[in-house]
Amino acid sequence: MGTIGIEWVNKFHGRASDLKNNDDNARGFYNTLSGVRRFEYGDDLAWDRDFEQSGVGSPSAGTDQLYADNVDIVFFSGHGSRNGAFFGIANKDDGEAKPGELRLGNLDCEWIVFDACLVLERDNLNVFNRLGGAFAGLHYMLGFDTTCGDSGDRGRKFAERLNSGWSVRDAWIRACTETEGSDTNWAYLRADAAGTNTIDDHWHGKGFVSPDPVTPTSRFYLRGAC
Amino acid sequence: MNELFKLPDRLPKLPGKIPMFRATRFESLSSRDAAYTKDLARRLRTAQRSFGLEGTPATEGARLVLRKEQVSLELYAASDSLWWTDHRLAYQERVPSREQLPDESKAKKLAAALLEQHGLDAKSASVASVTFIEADVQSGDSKPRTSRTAVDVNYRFRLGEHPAMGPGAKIKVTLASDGAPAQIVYFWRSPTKAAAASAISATTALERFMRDPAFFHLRNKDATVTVKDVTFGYYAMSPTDFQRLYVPVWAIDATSQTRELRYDFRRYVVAVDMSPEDAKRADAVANPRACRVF
Repeated sequence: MGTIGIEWVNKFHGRASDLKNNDDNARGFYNTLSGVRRFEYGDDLAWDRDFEQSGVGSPSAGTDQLYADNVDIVFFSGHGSRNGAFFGIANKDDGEAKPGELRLGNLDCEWIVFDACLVLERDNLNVFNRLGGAFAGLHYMLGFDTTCGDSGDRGRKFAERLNSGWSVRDAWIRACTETEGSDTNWAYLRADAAGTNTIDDHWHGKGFVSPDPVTPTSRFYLRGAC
Repeated sequence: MNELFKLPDRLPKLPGKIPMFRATRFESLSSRDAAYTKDLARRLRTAQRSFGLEGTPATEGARLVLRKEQVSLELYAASDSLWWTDHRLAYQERVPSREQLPDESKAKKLAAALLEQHGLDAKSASVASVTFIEADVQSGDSKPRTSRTAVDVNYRFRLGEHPAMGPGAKIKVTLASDGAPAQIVYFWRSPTKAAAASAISATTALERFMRDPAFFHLRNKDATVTVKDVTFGYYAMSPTDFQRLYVPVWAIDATSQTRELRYDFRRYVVAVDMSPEDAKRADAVANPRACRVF
């Protein structure tokens, strides 16, 4: 049985314009996906450090071993940029889960969703330098190459697909296509290693799940119009 | 004028009354509604014949799904939409280097022929862009190898003189190497004309936009919201959702800039005066929260 965590932010306290639907979006995922609900933190209880590796970066307040890396799938819904997921408060670390501070899968996490603008921006192939180091057993990072809309139901649609046995990448691409116009680009970054085959990943109990690519030998980035 | 907002010098104008378009032929989606169930059965038979997938579909939420080996066909119960995919071809990460994608002109011709072959009505749609599914593969720390594994011909619909917007009004035809059909995404609701309605002006729409609580916490000296474009159109919700009317909207494209984050976004302001209660009574959209600004 897979474990699930979500974090979402609508209130940014002037750090950015507020959003409206990230609670519905993330909770739609949380309450639909078949599995054990492990944590939900929203607004001022959603912290960048929950996604960051302990002792990495500056500040180095990461506690992902308790949160993002302590579940099989974690879903973030909020603002984002190529500098990472963006949070409403900055007093727990620095308010951004920066790519260089992410090391996921060295404990548990297989899939992370950044339902936020631009976290997976290709940026002339710099996506590999930016996010490649986050893969320490992590299978997939799913998100957007471009900006995206403030959807209230993409998480639910993604979870419905996973429950129905669609592969992880098909489920994400389809959830994005059903909720965005074709100006938006979905994207994913995944890793493989000897003996792994993450392209065929499914949600736990719904099909094949690859062994973890603990020391990735290949990374694959795919993007397309929604 | 609030200094937080920078607005365009010129705004588009509309006539006082705008045409409205119904987005469904049915009063109910109940299995007891003979007209609806008959139509759904007809749509299913037609799609099955056209795409060569027989059998009884699985019901997955708002969709009927047929699968045969690596091919899927999804029919949306709440709209006139469907999605056919050959999963061997649609989202490939590697393709043999000798294989070639069709060029833009050929892709457009192939896409049009494919839509015609499957009887998918694209009379009110036109090609908006031709894009690619792009795969980058990095082995170890080497320089990533880039390839285009499929080409997407993206169509947009129009309703009368104005564009249809949102996720529920588009066609995408995906073509793989040598023009092989890989995917057809057809999201649409066949429109019929409804009684005209009085529209709010673009100026009023911007006033409502500026009063949106999303901006309440932005401080003038630290932040700006720059409106780049204001366009009138009709909003189509996700193909999974029931929608009685195409929602007339002013689409506002803007950039919010604070010290910490620059954020490009689009916000829709409903272009007719309709309260959530009015929307509920009209059963216009599945979610009446989307009645003023969304």
